[in-house]
Formats: sequence, structure tokens, C-alpha cells
Amino acid sequence: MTRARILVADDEPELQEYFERIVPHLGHELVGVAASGEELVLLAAQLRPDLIVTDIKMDGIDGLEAVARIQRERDVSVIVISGYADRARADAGAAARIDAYLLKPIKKSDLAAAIHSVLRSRT
Amino acid sequence: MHDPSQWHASAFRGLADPVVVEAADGIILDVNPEAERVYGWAREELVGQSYQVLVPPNRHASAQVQRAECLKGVAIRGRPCTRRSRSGATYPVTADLTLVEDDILVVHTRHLPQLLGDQLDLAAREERYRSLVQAILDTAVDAILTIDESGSVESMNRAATRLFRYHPEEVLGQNIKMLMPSPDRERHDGYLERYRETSEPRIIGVGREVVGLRKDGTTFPCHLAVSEVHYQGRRVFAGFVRDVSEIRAAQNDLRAERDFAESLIDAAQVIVLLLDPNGHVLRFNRYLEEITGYRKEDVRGGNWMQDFIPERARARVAHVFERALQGQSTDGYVNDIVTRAGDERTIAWWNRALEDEAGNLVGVLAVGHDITELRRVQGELVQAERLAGIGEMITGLAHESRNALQRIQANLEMLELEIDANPSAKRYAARIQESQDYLSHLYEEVRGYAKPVQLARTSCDLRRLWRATWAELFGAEGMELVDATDAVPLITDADPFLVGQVFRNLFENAVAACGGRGRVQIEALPELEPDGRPGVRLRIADDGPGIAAEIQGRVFQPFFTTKTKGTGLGLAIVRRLIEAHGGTIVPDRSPLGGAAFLLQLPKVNDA
Repeated sequence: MTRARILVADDEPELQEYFERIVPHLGHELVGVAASGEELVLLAAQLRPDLIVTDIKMDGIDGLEAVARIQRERDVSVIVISGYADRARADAGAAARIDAYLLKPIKKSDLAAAIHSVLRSRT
Repeated sequence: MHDPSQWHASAFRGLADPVVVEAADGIILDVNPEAERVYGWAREELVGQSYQVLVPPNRHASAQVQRAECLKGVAIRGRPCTRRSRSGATYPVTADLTLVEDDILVVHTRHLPQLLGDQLDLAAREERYRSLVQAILDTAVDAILTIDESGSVESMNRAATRLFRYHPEEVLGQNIKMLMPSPDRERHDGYLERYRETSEPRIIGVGREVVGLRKDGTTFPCHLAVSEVHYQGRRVFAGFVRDVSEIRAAQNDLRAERDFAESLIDAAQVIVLLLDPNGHVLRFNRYLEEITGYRKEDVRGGNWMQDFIPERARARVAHVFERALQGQSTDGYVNDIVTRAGDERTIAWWNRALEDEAGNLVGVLAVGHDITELRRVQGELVQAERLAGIGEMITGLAHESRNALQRIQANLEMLELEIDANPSAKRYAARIQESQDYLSHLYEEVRGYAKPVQLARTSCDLRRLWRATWAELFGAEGMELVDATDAVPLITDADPFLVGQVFRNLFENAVAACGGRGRVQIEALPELEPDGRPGVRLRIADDGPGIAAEIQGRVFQPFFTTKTKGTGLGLAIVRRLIEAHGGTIVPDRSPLGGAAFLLQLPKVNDA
């Protein structure tokens, strides 16, 4: 399986720690963890990841807005993890291109399947 | 030479008629010798007395009127009157009254021979009487006709000619029946004949309402009074006719008005109740009959408080009634009443104290509105609002819980990585994971039930939907799906995802009930939409233990479950989704002996 370079964004420290542990456990490389939308934009420009995994609701600009800004510079795959059950509402007005949408709570198996499917469709 | 006073006196004394000279106050000043002779008084006896000594007492009044006229300057000539002599004998005379020197009356009477006098007096009296009678008759408001014993009209007054619109010459001498319509017209001769024979009056002295016939053929209601008159040895009948058409019309108007008011009171969808000051029922309209189940005959005169007010409220209602009697406002007062069947209805009242024309208290008029349904709906509305509020709360809670559930999940997975070498710790972690999964599932179900159903309709092949759902759930397990629909097309306009969820929930229930080994059968029933719309009817049955009769009514209630693991929302969600499509689902008899549901969906969804 392809080893992907993944950038994660979540404003909850517990989940930041989770991704730090789980993403390598799933066999991928975690290139960075952002705690806000702004940080995600900065890190994405610096680190140029294969894939972004982000929450929507964060301080400052939200995950969708950050992804939209990143994608204006460079195309990148995105998995969104959110508490919004209504995907249409979450997507509304966002210019971001989303490859997978996962509803909280997710398990590592959900994340693994989503990453696998997104990477496969990219190649 | 010639002294006028001398020959005036000679003429006065030598006149062959009695002459009396009277002062303005009636005192006799002088009489001539003829007067002495006729009246039998000496001159000196009369002078100084009142003239009334020469007039019979019953004529004093008319004599005084004549004198008064004359004193005003009216000369009176040949006026018939009566004088009396000293012996009391009376004489008809004609009198000339002349005023001289403003205050002296010279009364010159011509003494008529007795026989001639009698005749003249009678003729004059008769003439006067006749003209008086005619004047009275002609100014009378009532029509007056007289007939002889055979029915022939002898006289009619002006009012009669006006009323019947005939000229007198058209009627006089004709039979009175010409003024009557059938059947009196044919019978009137018989009435007269019977009266002649039996002398039993039917109408004489009584008066009754009859119908009159005018010349133009129109009829009118009239009141007829008949009197029998004996006159110059003959018997005639006088009829007094009064047109009562206006009275009748007014009465009819009044009755129509009253009937209208009555029908209004009866047709009104409000309670109209009239109670006397003691609380007894005087009036009770039809609407109140409908509400209470009593007929007004049953309750008239009955005690309202005793018969209709629940005991717990009697004192309070009696107090309100007293206040209404005193004219105080009690509008909008609400109380319950008991119907014949023993139910209670809630009524809001508008009360008015009623008085008759004389100001006596008649009772209380109570107009009431049955607000039982309104109250119930209000209660349901409050309940629905409360449920909607709870729904919103649950949706919010389910959303907020996602983050907490996610943290639990994340930490649990990290913990599992730490305890990889510790089997019993891994077992505990697995149990936590199980509870975590169940809690997530429960929140998902609650959220699914509470959120508004939004349909994304498209043309769905139901058969393909349930097959896909079945394959996804139990593809290779010990369950069998029997399609007994005879390959009829089962296409509806529906949301495939939501209808798929319906099948999923029903199949999961069936499989759980059968313990994982059994059969689920789907039948298509003939379309039978009660409202005429084309629809699809499916019966989904299993061969499990079935649903006990006593819980069949509750299986669609939220949180009702017989499963040890279940939220109790599965069937509640199913019904919600089906109803959102304009369909229905009810428990049915299973041909396989287990549980069954009958599902109806409209083909064309315009819900």
C-alpha cells in the first residue's frame, strides 16, 4: 500500500494526539498537525502533503475555508471529519473539493478505509 | 200726537200670541195678556220669577242654549220648543227670540193647535233623529249594514261602501251573501233560516272573524259582530264589520319574526339556555339537545344546577348565576356540564339578566360555546410544541455528543495500542468499545427519528431496493427471503435511501425475531387505495414468534422494544418515513404465523 504524507488539522489536543499515534500506526507519514484553519493553510504551503485530514469547526477560519484557500494554490486530496451530520449544510458555500466525508465518531478502521480509497482514486 | 211707546204697548198687549220679556239673567220683566191666558199665571205672579217657570224641566237646558245664542246677537226665528202652563200641561210652540237694548230678550211664542203641534214636533224630531243617526252611521269607522230576515240588505253606511267597494244602489235590496266568498256565500241563507227556526244565535252578540268579498273579487279578513234589532214591529239584523287585514298582517309579521328568531336559536351552533331566577330551565335550544343528549321536553322546568352541573362545581356555578341575576358581568365564565351519557363538556358562557316589559326579573339568558374540542386541541398543541422542543434538544444533544464520542473512541484506540500485550485489559477495552458502539448507534437512531424527514423523490423499483437491502444485510446467512409478488412491477415515486431504511429496519426486526434462522416473505396485495389514488400494498411477514396482541398497538411508539439490544426507535422511524411518503403501515396477520406488517405507499407521491 502507498505510504502517504498526511497533514492533519483539529483544534482538540486529544484528537491531535490521536492522529499523531494512529496515522503512523496505519502505515502513513504524519507530516504535521495544525490546530486552526490559518495554521493549516501555512503548513500546507510549507509541507506540501499528499492528503489533508481536517475537522470543519475550528477557531478562526474553518477547515473548509482553509482547504479552499490551499486548493487555490495547489490541488490536494482532502478527508473531512465532522460532527455535522448534514453534509449539504457543511458543504454549503464552501469552494473546497472534498474527497471523503467522515461523520464523528470515527474509528481508525474508518480512517484507514477512507485514506485507502482516496489514494487509490488519485492514482 | 203719535207716541210710539203708546202704540208699542198697545200692540204688545193686543197681540194674539204670548210674548214674554226677559232680562239677561232670565228674570221675567213683563208678559202680555195672551201669555197670562195661555200659561194660567197673572202678570204680577210671573214678573220677577225665572222664565224657567214656563219651560218643562226637561227642556231647561235647550232653552238656556237658545237664550245664550240670542244674547250673543243671533236672532232666533220659529225654533220648535215646548212651554208649560201653571197646571203642568206642556205645549209645543215655535219661538222667536229677539234681543233689544243688548240685555233684554223678547220671547214671542206662537202657540200651535195641539194636534198640529204634535205632528210637527214628531216630524221635526224624527227628522232630526234620522239625520243624527245617519251622521253617526256615516262617520262610523266600522262598516254597518242592516238586512231583513231574508238576508236582503236594507241599509249600508259609507264605511261599508268603502270597504266592499260597491255603490249602495248595487247592494241595497240584494242578498247580503254577495259580500261573502264561499263557503259562507252558499251557507248564509241556511244560517238565517236556522236562526228563524231555532232562535239559537251563532254569531249574534258574539262576533267572530270571517272573510269578506269585495266587488273586485278580492277577499279580506274581517271581524263581524251582528245584533238583532226589533224595529217597527219587524226584526232586522245589523252587522258591524271591521277590516282586520292590517292587524292580521301585523300579527303575521310578528309571527314570522318570532319564527325566524326561533329557527335562528335552533339552528345556531351555540347553546341558548334560559333559566328562571330559581335556576329552572325555561328554554333549551336544539344545539344544547345535541350536546347533552337530552330533549327539551325532558328538562324543561328541571333544576339546571342539580341536573347538569357536576357536584364539585355546583357552588361556584350557583354563585356565578346569582351574580348574573344581579346584572353583574360573568362573560367568558367556563364550567363543565354533564351529558346524559355521563360525559362532561366544557362550556364558556355569556350571561344576561332578562327582564319583562314591566321590569320584572324573568331569569338569566345564557349563551354558551362548547370549547371541549378547543381545549383538547390546545392541550395537544402544547404537547406537540413540547415534543418539538424535546426533538430539537435531542438533535442538539446528538450533535454535541459526537465530539465526546469521538474523544472516547480516540482515547480507547490509543489505550488499545498501549495494552496490546495484556489480554484481560484488551477484553475490558473491547467491552468499552461495545458500549461505545451501542451509544453511538443509539444517538444516531434518536437523531434520525427526531430530525425532519426530507424526501429526495425519484422513481424507485421497490423490488430492487429490498433485494439490495437484504443482500447487504444478510447475504449469506441462515435467512431466506421469499418474493411472493408474482413479478408485478412495483414502481413508486419515493426516496430510495429512506425506503431502503424502512426495509432494513423491518428485515432487522424479522431476523432478530427469528433468531437468525427463518423466512421473510414479501407479498404484493391488490391495490386498494381508499381515496382512489393508485398505490402499492406490500405485506412483509416472517415466521418468527409474532407480536402479542396486547402490544400490537404500541409497536410503533418510540422507545418501545422487546429486544434486549435495541433503541425501540426502529419501527417508530419506519412509520415516520412511510407517513412522510403519504403511506401507512400497520401490523397485519402473518401467513407464516409470525409477525407481519402491511405497508401502503402511493404510486404518485403528491404528499
